[in-house]
Amino acid sequence: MVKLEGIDTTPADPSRSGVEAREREMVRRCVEGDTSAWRSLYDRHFPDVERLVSSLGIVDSEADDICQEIFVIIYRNLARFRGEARLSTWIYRLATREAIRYARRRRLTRGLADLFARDRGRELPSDWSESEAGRRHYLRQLLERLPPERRLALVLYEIEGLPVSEIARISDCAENTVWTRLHRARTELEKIAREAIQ
Amino acid sequence: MSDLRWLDDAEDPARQALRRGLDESERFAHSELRQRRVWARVSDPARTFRDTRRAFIRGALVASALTAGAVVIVQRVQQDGPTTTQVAHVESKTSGPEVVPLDVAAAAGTVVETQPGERLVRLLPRGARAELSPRTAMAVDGEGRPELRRGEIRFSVAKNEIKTNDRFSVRVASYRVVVAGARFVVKAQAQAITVAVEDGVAEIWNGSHVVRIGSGETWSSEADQDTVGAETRGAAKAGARTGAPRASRDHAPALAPTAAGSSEEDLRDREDLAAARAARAASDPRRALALYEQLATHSGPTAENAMYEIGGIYHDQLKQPAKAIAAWDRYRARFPRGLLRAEADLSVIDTLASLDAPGSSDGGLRTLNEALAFLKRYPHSERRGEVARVAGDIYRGRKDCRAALDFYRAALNAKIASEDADDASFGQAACLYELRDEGATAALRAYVSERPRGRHARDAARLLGDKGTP
Repeated sequence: MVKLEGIDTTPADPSRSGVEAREREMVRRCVEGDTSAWRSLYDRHFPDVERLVSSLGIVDSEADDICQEIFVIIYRNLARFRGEARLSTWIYRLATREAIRYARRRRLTRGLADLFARDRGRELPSDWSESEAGRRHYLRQLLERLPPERRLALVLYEIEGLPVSEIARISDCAENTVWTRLHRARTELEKIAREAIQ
Repeated sequence: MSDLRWLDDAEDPARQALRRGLDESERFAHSELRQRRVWARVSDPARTFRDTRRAFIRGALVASALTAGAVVIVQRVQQDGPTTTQVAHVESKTSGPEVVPLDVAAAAGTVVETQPGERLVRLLPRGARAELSPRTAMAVDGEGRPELRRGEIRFSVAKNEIKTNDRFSVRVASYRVVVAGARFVVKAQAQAITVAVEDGVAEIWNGSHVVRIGSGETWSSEADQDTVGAETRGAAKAGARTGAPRASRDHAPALAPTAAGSSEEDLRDREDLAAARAARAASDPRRALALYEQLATHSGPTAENAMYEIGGIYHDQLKQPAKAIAAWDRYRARFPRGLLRAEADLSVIDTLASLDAPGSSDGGLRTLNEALAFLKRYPHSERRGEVARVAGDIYRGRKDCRAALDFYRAALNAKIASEDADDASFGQAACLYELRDEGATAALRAYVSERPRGRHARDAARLLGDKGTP
């Protein structure tokens, strides 16, 4: 099956094809074990991966672990990179898949932990809306309750201010899917927030 | 289409608070520290490729155990009261800071920061290596030029790289340290900026003035700022252009008495220095002169600074250029490798050139010799272009147009002020005219078209109208 998504159908742009050729060359050098090329690739794409991980609410040492895992996976799969999409798109695709898987596992673990927690302190207090610190703190807790894909869409759109097309690229899905996730995330958040205040 | 965002029109407090919470949320901030931490784990791609996640966990456990063991050993050594040799031995066994080549394209505009206790090495373009001390912040521009924002960095610049025109430079506050090769330490503290050269030579630029320091010498900005008094600023404003490079005595770099600021004698020197500056700023040059003369009998940076300042007072305030030159000559004789030597040389050239009347008896011979000596002594100075233009003018005055052409071309190839470029450009065209060179007409036309209001536009037009123009 021919996959159209991610393939650029616009007329060839010499500067862009130059970039793609450089990317392919960089990947080739990485596969051959060139450490400086690997370092260069890492430096260029780490901030994007880090932002993705951060948007999913993975912070501190957990973020280090997941970023490490993502780059291990990227390295292992570099030989399969064919240059059909931009390297950044390809990396996002792998990174999103792994980060969401990690976030799901984490959510499940936390959910189980909450079930057995003696002190169920994760309820939202009714005064959460009265101070800035309170709002920020409890917004984080609200976001924790969202499935990773919806959280990613909401954070990238509402907090980071990215356009839907960019979010679709990062999340490796269609734009309509992003809109759907965004809508569901909003509805869910509104519901939880209203319940907390009442 | 409405610009309203989600919940902008919310009426109930819960939804309003939610919108505010989203607006107030911290946006993503990239952590360079995390980037380095993770890189330490994935830097070896061959190993990374081989290892499974389990192997990583096992490796991490082993590494943790080793680290803990190393910590215990170090603690034991410290508890036993180690000698200097022991400490050095322990330090030599621990791995040094991570050496990372800087990807200029990716790093442009970013700030590299070190945490307390953290050291970091960055390899920069132009063969430079930067060792960042703890609590240091270094920004890098699109061409890989560093700027020290905070803390301390030790730079090592490869000598083979410094011969190129694109020399390595470090920006720190309003200063720019240009390396004429070597190892040096730049420190930015709240009160002062310090540059210490371990090996080689560095130029410290602030606006148009420069201080040149060599191996084992230290410069501090502390006293530099004190010297810019009200009167000297006035002098800068009134500074008329002469036929020589603009001297920068109006912002003369002062030397801070370093490393010995605590003794009584140094405290007295500082007080006298402050009194002399105050007298100078209060338009009392005689008193300032007396104080500086007294300070000049001392030693070290205070005396050096005083001797340089004496020349400045004679020149700027007492309007006695011959005595000014004599004072700077005294300075150069006593401090031939002094920190203000380059400044003194330029001041002498400036003053001599302003004294050279057309058709003077020696034809500007001493000025020419001074200019040639400067060009030889400071092959990397940013003021070379101005001095080359002076040399060109003197050669042209002496009817040696071929030599003049060489210097005008050198001046135009260097970075020079527009007035100097104007002079050099016309000088070059006039020399070609004198030599009856075929390019004379084109050079004169270029001058007239590029500088229709130039200082020599009338002369250029006259030469163009001359029937003898080749």
